[in-house]
Amino acid sequence: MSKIKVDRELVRKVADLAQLSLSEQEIGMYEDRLSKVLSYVEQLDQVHESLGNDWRPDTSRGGPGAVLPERADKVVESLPVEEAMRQAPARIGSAFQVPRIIE
Amino acid sequence: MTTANESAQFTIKSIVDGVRSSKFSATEVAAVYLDRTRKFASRLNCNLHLDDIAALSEAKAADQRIKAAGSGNLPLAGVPVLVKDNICVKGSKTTCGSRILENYVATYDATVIQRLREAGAFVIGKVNMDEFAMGSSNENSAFGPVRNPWNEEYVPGGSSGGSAAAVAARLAPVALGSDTGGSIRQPASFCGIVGLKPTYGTVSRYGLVAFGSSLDQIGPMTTTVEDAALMLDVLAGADSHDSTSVKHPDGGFAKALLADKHGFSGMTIGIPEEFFDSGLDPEVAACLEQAIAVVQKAGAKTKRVRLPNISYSVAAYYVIATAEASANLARFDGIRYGYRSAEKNLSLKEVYRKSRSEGFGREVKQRIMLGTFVLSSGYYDAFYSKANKVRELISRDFAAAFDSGCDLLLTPTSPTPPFKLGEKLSDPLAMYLSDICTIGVNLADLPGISIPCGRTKSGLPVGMQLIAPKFNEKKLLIGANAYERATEWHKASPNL
Repeated sequence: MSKIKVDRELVRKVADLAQLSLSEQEIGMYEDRLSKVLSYVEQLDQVHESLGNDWRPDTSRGGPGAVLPERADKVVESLPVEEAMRQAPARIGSAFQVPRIIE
Repeated sequence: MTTANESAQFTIKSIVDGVRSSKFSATEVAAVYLDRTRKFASRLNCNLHLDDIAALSEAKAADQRIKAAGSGNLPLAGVPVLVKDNICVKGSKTTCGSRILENYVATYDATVIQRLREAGAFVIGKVNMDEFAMGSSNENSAFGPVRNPWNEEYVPGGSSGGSAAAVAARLAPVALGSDTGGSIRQPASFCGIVGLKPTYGTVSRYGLVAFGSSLDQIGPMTTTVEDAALMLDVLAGADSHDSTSVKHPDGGFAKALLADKHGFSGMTIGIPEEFFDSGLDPEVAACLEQAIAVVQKAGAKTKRVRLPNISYSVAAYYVIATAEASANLARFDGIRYGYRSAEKNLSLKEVYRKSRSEGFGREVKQRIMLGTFVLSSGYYDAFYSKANKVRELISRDFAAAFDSGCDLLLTPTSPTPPFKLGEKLSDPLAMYLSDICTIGVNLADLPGISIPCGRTKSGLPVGMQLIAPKFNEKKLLIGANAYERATEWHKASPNL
């Protein structure tokens, strides 16, 4: 099984971070499933790599000299407000309606 | 107009030729395919919601475009295309196979859709898929599993299972799929058709609902290699809406196929040892052995190569892809669009949590949690950082194999033939490991194609994968076409 202790508390904590609400039965199910998957991915520990501390996936993968493409800073049309609001589950005018967060 | 049975033998090429010689119109082509769809689609559960009226109006618009531009100027004149339901078609539902987007209507067209229409093609329907492209069997859809047309007790593969099943059943000559870890190639293999995943960056992802942004690519699923090349000619190209898309250094893929006189002659094909070990199903191994013999007889040299870190590819993938997915799926929160929980008196946080938990299926929630975990404080370096370094090593392994003198690599597409519905659902790892042959190709950003290369004793399709260096789709398609010309597997279709 996983070296990391995958227990109900960990599943609850991760679900919390992921903005998911799980039943007790689901917590039990994911405890088992996540434990199996994490146990499998932990084999990455075995890989010895000597890429060095300077290697970073966000900057090194494109190869030497790779640059992020840019485009001209031009104002263009965007999605009309009415179109953007059309599928809102709840709205007030041109605002998305949400539960009160400030008393 | 040709009969529905004749249309079952249509290819993109024969449709374009027919439209250009005024044998039939796009509208007539649509009518024939819609008739076939009515007969078979619900049995296979491959089609979703674009209805007949919308499909015919798309076809009529294609006919108008063809009349205005001249069919000779439109490389896909009159071609009906099925579209995986994670690709936005404006005005059409785009559900990603999920309850959370069950009624979501796309507000814009994906770039690939615009390109297809400009080339004279039209959208004839949207097809079923594993929810948010997470799956290898099309059993994770909120709208029910898709069935393999070769044997309806078996899975079509996934996540582009609807695309593969529909093309295999000849409900359209082509479907768009998306491929993050094998989701075009593996279902193509399971359904006996051609599935092409281009080099990362070749096809714009604008309008593709993101799963793993550093891995996703849209690609064509067709019945012939030439058709895949015709589609790539239209789909490929840099797009200002997708900063990861690039101008492909080549073009004219279909032309290159026609002009090619050499096929495999002069090529060296690498056979990675790790894909042919004891884990390979014996029937798949037998088909691949015959395929290698065909390739050798056609003039290629073959040589054993090694990809020393490839066994870590599934582990690296399920860290990187799930991490990216956990970020990409954070937008589905019940506020601006999509499913919102009907429960009353919820706080804001509860709206997010209930909507997401009720709207997402089991596999999606599992991957979101896995991705959240590997990015979380205390685990980021051990998992996410490490997985990216392993990804780099895998990329270098492929590069070394090509540098050792290989034009292409040849592997099975899947370690097993299609499996039965329900067979792998209880063990999360069993399903993940069915992608072992395809995942490394996505990690290394390479192009890969699956082509049919045999059948099991019970008549289920087996596919072979060819892999090329980055942006070498020309060589990839030439090799695949040469194999197809030397065999007959692509000519068969399931007896529905």
